[in-house]
Amino acid sequence: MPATPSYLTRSTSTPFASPGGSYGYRSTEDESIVLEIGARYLRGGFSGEPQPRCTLAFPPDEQRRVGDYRAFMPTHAFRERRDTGPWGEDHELWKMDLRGQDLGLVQDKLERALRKAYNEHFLLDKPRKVLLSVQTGLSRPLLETVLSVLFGSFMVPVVTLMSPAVLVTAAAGLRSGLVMDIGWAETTITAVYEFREVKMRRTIRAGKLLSRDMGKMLEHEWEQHNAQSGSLREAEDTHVTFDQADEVLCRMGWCMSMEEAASRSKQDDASSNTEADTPISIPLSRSSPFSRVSIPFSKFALPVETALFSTGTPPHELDAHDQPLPILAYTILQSLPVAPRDICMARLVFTGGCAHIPGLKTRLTEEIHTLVRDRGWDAVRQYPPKITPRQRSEAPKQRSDAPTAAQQSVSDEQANGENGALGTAELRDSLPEVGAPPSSSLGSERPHATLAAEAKRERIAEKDGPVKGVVRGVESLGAWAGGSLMGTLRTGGRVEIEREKFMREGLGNGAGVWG
Amino acid sequence: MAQSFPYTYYSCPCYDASGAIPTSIAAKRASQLSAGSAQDDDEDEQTFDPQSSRANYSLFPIEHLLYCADCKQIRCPRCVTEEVLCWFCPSCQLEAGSSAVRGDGNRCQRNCLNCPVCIAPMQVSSLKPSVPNYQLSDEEARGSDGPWILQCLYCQWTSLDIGVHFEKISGIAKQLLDIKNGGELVPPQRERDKDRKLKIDLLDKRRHPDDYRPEERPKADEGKHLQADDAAPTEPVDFDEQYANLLAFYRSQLSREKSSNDHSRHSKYLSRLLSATGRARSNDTKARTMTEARNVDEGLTLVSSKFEALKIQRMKEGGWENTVDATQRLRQINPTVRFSSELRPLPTHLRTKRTKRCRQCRQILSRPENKVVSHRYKIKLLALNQIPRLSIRALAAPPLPFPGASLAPGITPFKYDSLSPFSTTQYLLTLTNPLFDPIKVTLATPSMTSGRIQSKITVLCPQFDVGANTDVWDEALGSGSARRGDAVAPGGPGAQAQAEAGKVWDKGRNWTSVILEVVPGRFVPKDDKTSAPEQDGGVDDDEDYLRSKGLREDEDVLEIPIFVRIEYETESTAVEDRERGTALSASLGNARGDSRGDAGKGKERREEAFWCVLGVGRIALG
Ligand SMILES: [Zn+2]
Ligand SMILES: [Zn+2]
Ligand SMILES: [Zn+2]
Ligand SMILES: [Zn+2]
Repeated sequence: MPATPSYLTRSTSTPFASPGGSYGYRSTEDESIVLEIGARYLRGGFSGEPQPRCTLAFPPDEQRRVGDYRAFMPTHAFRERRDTGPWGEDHELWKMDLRGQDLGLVQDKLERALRKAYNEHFLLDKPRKVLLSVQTGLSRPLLETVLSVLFGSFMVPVVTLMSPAVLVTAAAGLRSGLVMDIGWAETTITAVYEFREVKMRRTIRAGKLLSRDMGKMLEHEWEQHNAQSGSLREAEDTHVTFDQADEVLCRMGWCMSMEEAASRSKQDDASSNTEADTPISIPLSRSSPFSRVSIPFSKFALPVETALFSTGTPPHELDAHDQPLPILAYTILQSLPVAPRDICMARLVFTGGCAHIPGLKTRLTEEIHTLVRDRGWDAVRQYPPKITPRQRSEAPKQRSDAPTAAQQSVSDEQANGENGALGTAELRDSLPEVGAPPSSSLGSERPHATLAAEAKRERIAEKDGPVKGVVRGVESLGAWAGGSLMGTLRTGGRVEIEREKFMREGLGNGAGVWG
Repeated sequence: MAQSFPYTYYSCPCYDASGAIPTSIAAKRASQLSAGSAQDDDEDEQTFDPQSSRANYSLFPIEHLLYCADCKQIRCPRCVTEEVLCWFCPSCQLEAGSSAVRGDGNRCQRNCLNCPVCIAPMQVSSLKPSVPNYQLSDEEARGSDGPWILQCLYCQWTSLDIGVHFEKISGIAKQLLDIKNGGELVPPQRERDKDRKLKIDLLDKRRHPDDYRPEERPKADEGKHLQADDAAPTEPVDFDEQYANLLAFYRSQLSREKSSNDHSRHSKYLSRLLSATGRARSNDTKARTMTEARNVDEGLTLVSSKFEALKIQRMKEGGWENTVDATQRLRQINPTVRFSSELRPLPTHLRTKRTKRCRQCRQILSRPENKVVSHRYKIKLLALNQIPRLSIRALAAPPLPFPGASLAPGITPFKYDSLSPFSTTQYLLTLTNPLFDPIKVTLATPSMTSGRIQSKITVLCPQFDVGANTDVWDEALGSGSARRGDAVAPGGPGAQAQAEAGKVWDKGRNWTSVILEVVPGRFVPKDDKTSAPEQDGGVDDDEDYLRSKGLREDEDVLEIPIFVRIEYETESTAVEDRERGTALSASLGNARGDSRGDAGKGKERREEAFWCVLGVGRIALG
């Protein structure tokens, strides 16, 4: 958008100012190519560099014939194209479900994207090794397709496979953590302990569902807007395409804090308090690109509520595959042995495209914290009898030298029960403080900050041991950066696949590559 | 619209049977395919479907195709391998050395930058208003007319939008590396690295004083502030900074690992990092006491609710226009930027000149001249010199004197964009032979197009000969046939000549035209039961939600798949000589054309076959 007020009045200094350039490109001869391939994006670059050289999507406009330049035509810019297939499908490299998947088409799309990466961004004079991060659950035929493109079309001598969850953990500076990868078709939550994936669960509450809910919201608002602004435009086609919904999600999607969400659900939805709701004017119309629709800012947070937290859906209607994110995270933590659980709960790591939605990381941390506080870890064991939240809050504070019932139960199972129970007890101790009502203004600290302070205090008490037993969110640079770090550090112990061998016998018929 | 009608695309056969896929996988895939759907027994004879999703990847305009003389095959961009000859900046046309290339991220380090908003090249302008349209001419001006800014001449974005200006006029891209948005200078990398190393060393000494000799141990209060292990960030996470911190942290861990022996508690925990299986030796308990990053300096950063809330606040206050769109974001060097104030001008991507080789036999197919400014090729084996060119136009369309010429006034052009359903339209299909030998052509099309709109296709004369591409003078001197197609008076070509089955329409020196009859079908929208999709908010109704019932994009385009087979006899050596300008090689054995029935010495029978797609127009709806 052209924005040319006088430069003298421009406000330029912001706390978000991006860094001055990069910390130097390091791609010497022996650095490898690092690739992270997901359903929506391919990231590629060199190990030792903080950022990938390219992030490539798979939109329909990239899938056209050579010589088809319609994507560059001015008329195309207003997105007259309507979606025809299932929501977002023509933006995917692959589906996790192999049924109805044309592997040849996956190969074609991937080959084209990689060719772009190699010819426009890598500009190599000779083939290099590849460190490849693909989802560990990727089906074998898809993995074979990826490898055959790398080996067959790009003459890659060796491909090293790396688990994204482990890389995300490493890119957070950690060795253990609960990695929540809020991706496209599904969210994968993996408990990583000492660089091992120890537990993994999925839910379809992820980007695809989220963008679709955003589309629904936009359509609804657009219709209302037209109804209000006169009968003339009522006939206007208010179909919201995937492109539109996806873009609005990336630019305007945000996530409420627990407190905001709670206060919102209390008040009647119809009587929206407009005075706090800044209207955001966005261009939606395809026919007249300069006409805009005004939507209250708070509405852009609603899709996250419905899609990721399943607000408005009664719990009994939820299947195993569409659990809301905090519940799923809690369930995994609950199923872990005590020691890894205490470590992991203090290391919630968020990654995936949707993790960038402002407010989401904080919210998830809050939600998981609340679940842990209210339910404890007893639900799964039922012995000794479950303590209800009310009971607990009434119970007197106990120091760790006076073990609670819950502690006893866990230490039974604990092989080397040195720390786990202690951590849990300390968490309980800290609860009343954490639950204190947070300040409501957006600019101030949210409750999570108190958690961090708590963690710090506890750390000092524990004398340099790892933080555990509290709920903390940790920032990660993501799987690509993790691969880049590991690639340049050149540490051993890896799953390597050599070109010669693969071309001869494929992946072989032995055990799965992921072990 | 893709290409203006009418057009011809050529299919490269590599897409399904290249050497790219190991045979084991290819076989598996084939069996999956045939199990999945009822198909013709012989896959080679399967009709090419231009509407299939994969067709987009195997169809090319003939100008984009190369030809391997050894393999006797079309080579598309997918079935060649490439080697970089040189790197250059497309903007300043200067070559970049291969070592410089790697250090600079394959981007020009001079004054070539692109607008982060619209990607147009940016101009360096002086902030002093007295110098309009600054053009650098002499050394004096360099010093005196700064400061400088980058300015997009297309969308008016300037580097002042992000608070950045430059003191010198040279090496703008390099200068940009040292300036943050807002104008603050980045401390030199060496200083940052030194600073980081000091901190990490100190932390390590404080944590493991036993590993150090007494005189190396830190004094009591030295680095006490670092001991706080504070992972709560005091400012928003800077991606590159956190990366550098992590890298330094892991390096220090690895060096500890190396320097200490196996019995130390610093066992090889990092070496397990890369193991995808992550199978750790069960007795490896030492790793449990290993350190992880514990503060911001080491790369551990806690999620900050404060900075997330600030971001939301900014979104709310700045609105839509203050955020960047997906295209702009993905072009950025940091592809996670959100606000337009975070945009950075983009140093121009370098390009390469590349040699292309046949993937099968490594033969060089194309090699540009080394000089950056030159656009010529030392070698370029174009497919259009080896395989016949198919061109098509409506018979009723007034012929143009040359491609792209405009019609004389008063003559209505043929409306390729709205073919009327059920009315027979005749097209003139012309094959032009680039070879020096006459060819025998066999054409095959399906009688009906596939898909939801079924159009009928008939080639009136599917078998014919095309003359050799002899000297132009031969035609002028020789008899030459009547050129009916072009000779007819405008307005009524069909009236004078009747198309007859089995007869060619017209013929010239090295071209032959035949008639293709097309009866476009009609699209009948199905009255499906799901006309009112339930929008119940469930999670499984993807299939219905927001799904339009109409045509898919380009489903109304009438494209005809046509299988072209040519046969000819040639002198065994002649082709090679002409094509490569080298002495005859022993490659004849590889020739795909079999050499049966070569009665005459040195004569060889060759055969070539490929699929084409003819785009003859768009069918009118209704
Ligand atoms: Zn070849
Ligand atoms: Zn090809
Ligand atoms: Zn340049
Ligand atoms: Zn611009």
